[in-house]
Amino acid sequence: MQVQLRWTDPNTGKPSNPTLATPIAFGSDFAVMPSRLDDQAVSRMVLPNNAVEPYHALLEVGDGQLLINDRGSRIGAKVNGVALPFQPVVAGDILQIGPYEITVVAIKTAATAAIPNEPAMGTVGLSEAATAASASGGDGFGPDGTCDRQIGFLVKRRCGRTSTAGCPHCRNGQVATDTDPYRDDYDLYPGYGHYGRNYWGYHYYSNRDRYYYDPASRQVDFTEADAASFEDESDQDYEMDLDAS
Amino acid sequence: MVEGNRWLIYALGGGWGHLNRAIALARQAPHPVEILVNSPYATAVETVLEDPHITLRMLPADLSAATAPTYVQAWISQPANCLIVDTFPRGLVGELADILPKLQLPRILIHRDLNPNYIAAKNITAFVRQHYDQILIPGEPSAPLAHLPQAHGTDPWLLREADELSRVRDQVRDCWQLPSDRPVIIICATGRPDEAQRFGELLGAIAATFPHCAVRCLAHHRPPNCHPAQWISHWPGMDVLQLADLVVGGAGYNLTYECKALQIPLIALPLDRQYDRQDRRAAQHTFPVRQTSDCLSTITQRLTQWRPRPAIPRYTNGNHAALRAIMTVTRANHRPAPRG
Repeated sequence: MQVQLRWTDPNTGKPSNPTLATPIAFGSDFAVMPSRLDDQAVSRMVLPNNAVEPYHALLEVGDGQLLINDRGSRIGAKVNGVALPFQPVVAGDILQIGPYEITVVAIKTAATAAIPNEPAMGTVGLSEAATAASASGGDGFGPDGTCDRQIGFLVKRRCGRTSTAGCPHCRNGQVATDTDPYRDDYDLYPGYGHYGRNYWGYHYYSNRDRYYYDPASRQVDFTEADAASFEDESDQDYEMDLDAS
Repeated sequence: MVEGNRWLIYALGGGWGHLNRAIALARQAPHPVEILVNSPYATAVETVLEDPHITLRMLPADLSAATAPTYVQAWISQPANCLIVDTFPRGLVGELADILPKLQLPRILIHRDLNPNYIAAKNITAFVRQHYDQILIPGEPSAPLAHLPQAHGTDPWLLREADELSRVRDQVRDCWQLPSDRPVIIICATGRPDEAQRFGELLGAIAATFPHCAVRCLAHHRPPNCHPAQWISHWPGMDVLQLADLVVGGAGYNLTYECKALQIPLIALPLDRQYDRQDRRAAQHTFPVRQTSDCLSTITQRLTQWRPRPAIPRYTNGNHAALRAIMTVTRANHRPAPRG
């Protein structure tokens, strides 16, 4: 089962929107959370806050439905404000783990899942599938062990993955590091890089908050790197403040 | 959704504008009106709002941008026959974007000027075109959505009719000891604490420069540097403004159009807001200034033309036309309740 989550870091204000495979562990200490459960790789979400237990809760599948299992934390794991030791979760629910309020944006079951098993960007949400196969100086990886490849269709951004496993950009390391996976696409869009009115990119740029990657429905291939780049845009600040006028 | 004879007005947003505009409309409504607000001034207004048909529903203070949508959704689910949304078509934190497409109620947007960057970033034009039955534009015909087919312009909406002001004029003058034989300058201090402080400093400079004038500060909280004897806390502010010869303040919606209706010069220091373009409004309807020195020189110019003001001018309150327009939509755009 694939779960798309969304939250804003209460410390930094930075939004995150990863899509992860279950089971998903939440805690403040990456090393304390299990890397595997029942022979399944665990996506470990690090929520760095003193109110969050080192291994706080586990989002897992039971009897075909998504459940959150509070690991006996002091403050509980709440779903829509209700703390129970074990409770079902559906799309639209808000999980509260310490100061983190995590929205369950979408849940895709095996029958409908088509999201590649992508690890999330940054230090949180690195799935075991990614970390287990961490790079050891292979092609395209820098001295810090992360990928140097420039990814993103609209806006280039350093990949930063620790592994090629599950990467949709290099296709598990099968695309040469000096090859832009979008090379052929750019031939179709000579105005690439121009987002002003009357350029083809204007439409995509203006509607960028609507995009998500859903191969099942063949929605726009708007890559995570593009999304991450746009997070820095000032207009992302709209609709964030209840005191605005 | 069960329908009821009630209007819901979504008026979330900081400051006075959303609150006062919603109440100005609600006072004309033929049905009970419930207004969802989070203005810091709402609690104070509720204590003096003598209209049993208007309910102010305060958004709980401990809600965040992430938790407010659940509350808003529950609030909209109550029986009503009309949803009126002030200023933010998708909701203040975007929460209405998910709610409106499923809502079986006529939807009306109150549209004042908005930052075009917000319009572009959130694809507001297409959203409003699709999800609102009517757009009411009180007093700002050049607002960015005015070109949409469901747009309907009215005069600005005001909290007081001219005859209401006449009835309280002497009482307010006595209460706040405002003279009639010399110029009255009122500084309207609104906004964030740093902005209120600036208005407080401006008050001191104006009082020192124009000692022959009665200088007062109209504000919910007394700003720093404002002597208690100079402070006026009164709602609606229009009751007091009618007695002014000059007004100094920001260029928010209420103050700008209240001064315009009363034909009182407003010397405006436009405040920086995320969605509201006060610069633009100030340029159209006020004497805009940036610095204290500019403000003082503008006051000097205006005072050279001073003479006791005549009676309250006649003006049109746009909320009457708004009421007629809304009634047309609620009757014609009846949406049946969903089945099952």
